[in-house]
Amino acid sequence: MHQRLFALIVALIAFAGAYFIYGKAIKPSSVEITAFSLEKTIVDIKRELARFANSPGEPLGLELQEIKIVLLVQRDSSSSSNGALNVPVFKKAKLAGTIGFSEKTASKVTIVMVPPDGSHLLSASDDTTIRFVDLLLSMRTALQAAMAEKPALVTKQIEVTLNFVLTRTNELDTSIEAHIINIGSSLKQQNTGSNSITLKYLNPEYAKDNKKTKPAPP
Amino acid sequence: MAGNVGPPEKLAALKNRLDQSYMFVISFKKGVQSKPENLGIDLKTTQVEPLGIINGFAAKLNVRYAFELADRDDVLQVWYLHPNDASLYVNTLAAINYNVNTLPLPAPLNISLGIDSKRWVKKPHLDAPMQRATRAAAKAGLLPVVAIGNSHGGNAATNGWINPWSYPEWVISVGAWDSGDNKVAGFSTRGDPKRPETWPDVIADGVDIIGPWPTNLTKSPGRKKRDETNAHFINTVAKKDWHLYTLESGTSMSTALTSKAAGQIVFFLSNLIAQNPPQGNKPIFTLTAPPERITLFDELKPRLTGTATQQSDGSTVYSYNVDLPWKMVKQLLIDTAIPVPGALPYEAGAGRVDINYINQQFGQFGVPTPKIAMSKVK
Repeated sequence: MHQRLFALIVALIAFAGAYFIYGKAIKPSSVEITAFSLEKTIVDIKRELARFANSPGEPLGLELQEIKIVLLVQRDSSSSSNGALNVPVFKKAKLAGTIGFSEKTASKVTIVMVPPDGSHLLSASDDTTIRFVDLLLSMRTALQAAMAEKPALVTKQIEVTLNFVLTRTNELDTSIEAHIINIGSSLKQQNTGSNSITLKYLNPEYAKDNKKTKPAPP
Repeated sequence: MAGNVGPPEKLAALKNRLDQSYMFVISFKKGVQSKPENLGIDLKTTQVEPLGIINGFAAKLNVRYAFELADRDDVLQVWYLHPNDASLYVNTLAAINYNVNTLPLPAPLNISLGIDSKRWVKKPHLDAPMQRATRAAAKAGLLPVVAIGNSHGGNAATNGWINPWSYPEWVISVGAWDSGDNKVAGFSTRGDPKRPETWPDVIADGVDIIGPWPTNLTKSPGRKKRDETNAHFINTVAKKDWHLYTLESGTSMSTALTSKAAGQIVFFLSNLIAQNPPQGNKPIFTLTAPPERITLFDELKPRLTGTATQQSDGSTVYSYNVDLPWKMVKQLLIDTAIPVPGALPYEAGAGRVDINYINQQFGQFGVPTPKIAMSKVK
């Protein structure tokens, strides 16, 4: 009886130790300093996309048809959060080195949305905590420059994926930035642990390829 | 084919969509009576919005047919409207048309509106129906005050892309000031530093402005929380009325405040001229601005009316003669704008319109409560 009890105690200690080590092992990288509510992240990204829609510029000759957002999510470890899903936020200063994500197997949320329209009443959208739109505008500017380069080819479709992580300077910093990891789809460089946003542009002239589809208004 | 069809950058795409139907604004030539039925349009089957201010009408038409109309000798112009902008565009034209015919003029016309910024162009077309309508309105004494837009967002690449309705010389273009942070609002659209015609004329408070909330709508939890945790809102609005008001930010709000200032200047000028009829070329009044009130804007943009004479002590004396109301009101708003240190003219125009200062400066004949005139559109 005593032997069984002793064995049980040893087994419990071993399990606790293993659990402790396992917990350490699967814990997010040390560069992660906080997390951001999934709901708030999506709301902020939607507002940033509305800002993007309100940002005029040289037309690409292409229509933004679809936006796909993939967010890395994790369960909040703090006791007060009631198990809410959060998006990890990383310390900005640590991003210069290797971004040591260990969440390749973490859950992801994928959202596909149509681009928002600009505002007719000229009121500014609400402020967002995530500063995102500069990344998208930089990307659009790069596309415009690339398409103007000779020889100019008629572009039918462009799909760009932008991998990013949310960053903060420190835990007291209230603003969260979207920090770009890479643009493109090179598997070698792509960090599968990051969030991503994919913008799909289509040339409206090619809508007429499909006889059943009404051409988009110019 | 396609005579005078606009906008020119859409022409090629429209030629590829001859079988589609879109909203068009059709204008007749000067001296030709605007009668859609004379163009073969059946008023029983086609909804037509008459737009006397540009001697024309708006209607949804087949593209091929619109191109045929553009070739007629009696048609001045056929202008395509994108479906997402058409309703706003036509209703705004109709509202201008209605107000210019019904309001006692001169009066300010608040246009806190604009087409979707995705369809802004770098050099707005001055012959577009909206520009022709605001020009006719300004000439008649309805003074357009227009929001420059909220497209900036801290990105210099958008400089010079402005709400096209705010572009013409005959409108007062308004940007937004953030009085909380004491700077030009981050969202407020900037002009192109090298193209003064794109600069805002003035800026006015445009962040966290208290305005009415429609009683048929319920505030979202986010809006409710933002209102009820804002010190300015709590201290200004009685708690029992919190559901009737809200905070809003944007150049629309700045435009409304500037329209109010324009209305006060109109009231002042009307009374001044009525009580002191102009005598020959003698100025009707003068203003003196100390040196610190002169900005780069004053130096770089030509005056619309009146004269500016620098004095030996560095001050400037502005003299005003009777001129077109839009020129007088716009120039007075520019001359009395309060400079904002650190901001350049492409961001802030001549400076900030302060309604209290305007009321004080132009309150000699009283400060009437502004009235909002309803616009009747279909």
